[in-house]
Amino acid sequence: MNEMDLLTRFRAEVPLGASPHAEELFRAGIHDHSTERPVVPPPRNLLARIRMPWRLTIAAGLAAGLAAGLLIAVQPSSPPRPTAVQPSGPSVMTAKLLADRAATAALTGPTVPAGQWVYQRTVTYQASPPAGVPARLTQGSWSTADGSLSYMPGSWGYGADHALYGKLGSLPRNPIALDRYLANLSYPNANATQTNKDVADFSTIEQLLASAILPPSVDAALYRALGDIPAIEVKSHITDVDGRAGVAFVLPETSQSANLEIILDASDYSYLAQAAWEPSDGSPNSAIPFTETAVLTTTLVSGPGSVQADSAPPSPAELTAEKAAMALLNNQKAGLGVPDPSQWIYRKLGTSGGTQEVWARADDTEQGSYVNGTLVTCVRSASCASGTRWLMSAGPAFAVVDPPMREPGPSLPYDPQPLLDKLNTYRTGCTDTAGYCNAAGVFANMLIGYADVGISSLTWYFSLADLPGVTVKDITDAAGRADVEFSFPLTGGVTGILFDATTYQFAGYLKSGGQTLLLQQANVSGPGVLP
Amino acid sequence: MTPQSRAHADPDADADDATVIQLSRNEPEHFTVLFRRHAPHIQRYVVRRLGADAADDIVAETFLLAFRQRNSYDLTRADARPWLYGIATNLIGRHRRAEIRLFRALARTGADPVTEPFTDRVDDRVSADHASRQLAAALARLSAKLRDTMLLAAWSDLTYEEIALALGVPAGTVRSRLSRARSKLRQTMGDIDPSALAEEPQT
Repeated sequence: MNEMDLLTRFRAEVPLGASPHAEELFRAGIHDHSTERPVVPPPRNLLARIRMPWRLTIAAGLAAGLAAGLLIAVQPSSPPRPTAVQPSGPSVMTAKLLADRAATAALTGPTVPAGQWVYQRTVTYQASPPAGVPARLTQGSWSTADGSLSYMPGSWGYGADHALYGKLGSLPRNPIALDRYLANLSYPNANATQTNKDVADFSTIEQLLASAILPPSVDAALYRALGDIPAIEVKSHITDVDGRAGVAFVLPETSQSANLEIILDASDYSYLAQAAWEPSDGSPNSAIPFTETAVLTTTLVSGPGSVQADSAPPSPAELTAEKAAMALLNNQKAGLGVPDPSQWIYRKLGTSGGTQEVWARADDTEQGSYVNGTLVTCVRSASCASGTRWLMSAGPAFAVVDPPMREPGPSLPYDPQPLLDKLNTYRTGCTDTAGYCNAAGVFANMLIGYADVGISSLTWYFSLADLPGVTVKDITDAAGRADVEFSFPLTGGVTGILFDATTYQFAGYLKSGGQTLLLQQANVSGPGVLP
Repeated sequence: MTPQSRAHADPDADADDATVIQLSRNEPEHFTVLFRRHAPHIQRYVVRRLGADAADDIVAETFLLAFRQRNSYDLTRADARPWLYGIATNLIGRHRRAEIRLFRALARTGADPVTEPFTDRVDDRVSADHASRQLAAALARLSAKLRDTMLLAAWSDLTYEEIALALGVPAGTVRSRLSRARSKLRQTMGDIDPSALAEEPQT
């Protein structure tokens, strides 16, 4: 028997299987996260609301397997609605009347620019929460008013309703046309049943009301459209999970869908909450437990991570950071330029002294460049940096930037301002630390020569817009390209960071009056290899 | 783990790991699918290296670290096992001395603290065969890099290319490490008297 066979049999008594304790610890850890990051997002997904066969499969699989933290769980009997007060008599409020009042109220709302950052605190109540998730979960999250970007600490994404919002520009005025338009958003090609169209309309409107800040006229049109859904009903005298008096649009349960509600404030008809539940019809897959998500506060803020009310319109620097972030997000989503961990990132740089080519391994363990005509490759360190007279040693080790394959070191802060403070603690040889010169220097270093920072750099871009005194201006760089410059009022060190004015890709930086430009970047198989 | 073996127990059986991770970026609860799918194997690997007591924390931490890093996961990699084994192996590295102590205890006494909880027959418990004792002694002498590579090759189902990904080294390095590790094991197993080992390694 050779040593490999011996090894394969060695300790083979250890059984396959995760221990319940490990799973408990994992769940608890995820749950700890959920105080800032949701384990259970608000039920905004249309598909979660319509009983599709594949959803049933998931629910059944869950019941058979572990009670994992998925949104839908199977429950044998109907949970009582915990806070609703059932109407005691016939409702005097009709759907049309409620729609009209809500639309009128919506028209008095503020007009918020699409790029305005909004901080929203919500509470989600679930009658039958997954193990490890509290029945009542309060969460905070940020998004732009148009939902194009969303942020929770450590997690960036497109706002859930970005695509929807983008289609609202041509919202029809005619109620019938509007109804058809909304249904088509969900069923562009299918001949949907009336029930499915009702659910689609309702859910689309609900998503938009819950998660984007719409122009008042659009808001109003959506409320009117709610009143026009044929099956719509109204329920008065109810309270939401936060105990506020409300009145609700109700789309009654059908064989295709759960009972859905949009709850408005009973006095001013502003949006309060969305809810979904259904009584069990006795079949094993029928019960979607009662779930309600109420918006507690909506605050206009200066940017992601900030909770202080600030309704000043986004600064040009913030808007530029957003564009750069969107460009990065789009690249990531398309998988563009994301290197294989074993690959190297080739960069061709332009300076006043000529061009230079540098390589960084995608996992950032090594860097390479030509010194006196010889390719020098070495691990990333201060001595290597001085030996190759290239990459500055200042800046975090790549391990803290959240790479896919490396041992995680201490994490950098997630939110922009704390990140900025942390980056400013690295030494880049400048003196104006009060002006965050080191943070600017680290930023330039990372983007010009480090490995793939990936999606983490979305936070970095927003940090950039938070540097004291930052302005943006259009410039033509030494390579003749039209760039946007983040310009910092610093006397030494890095004074500007450049992005391409069209693509919003990183283009270079300014230091001591000179430009260092990123002329070309590509993933290659090794150091010294050209694209 | 083969796709077949996970098919009936896994509600997201159709979705590969990358898809699950992508979903988890906006809906974190999807990440529990990854735990259910891979934790059984990761747990066995960690237990075999460090024993059941230490394993629970490491397995949980492996998946929590992965969860926190899910935004930077390379979605072109459909199979997340190399990533997860890589994280687990890094975490095991923090317990190197404990791992070596366990190997040496087995080599010295013939009783393996790692497998003890899983064997109920007394004679199994006290009498690891001579070859296992030699193997444990030899493993204790391997460098951490060689041991990581060797044990991933023996105890995970990863291919050499996947081990390379897990350890963040080129595939050629995995092959050369394995060949070095095997010859070292052969060599040391030939000349070790396990009972002569000292209690604590001097490192």
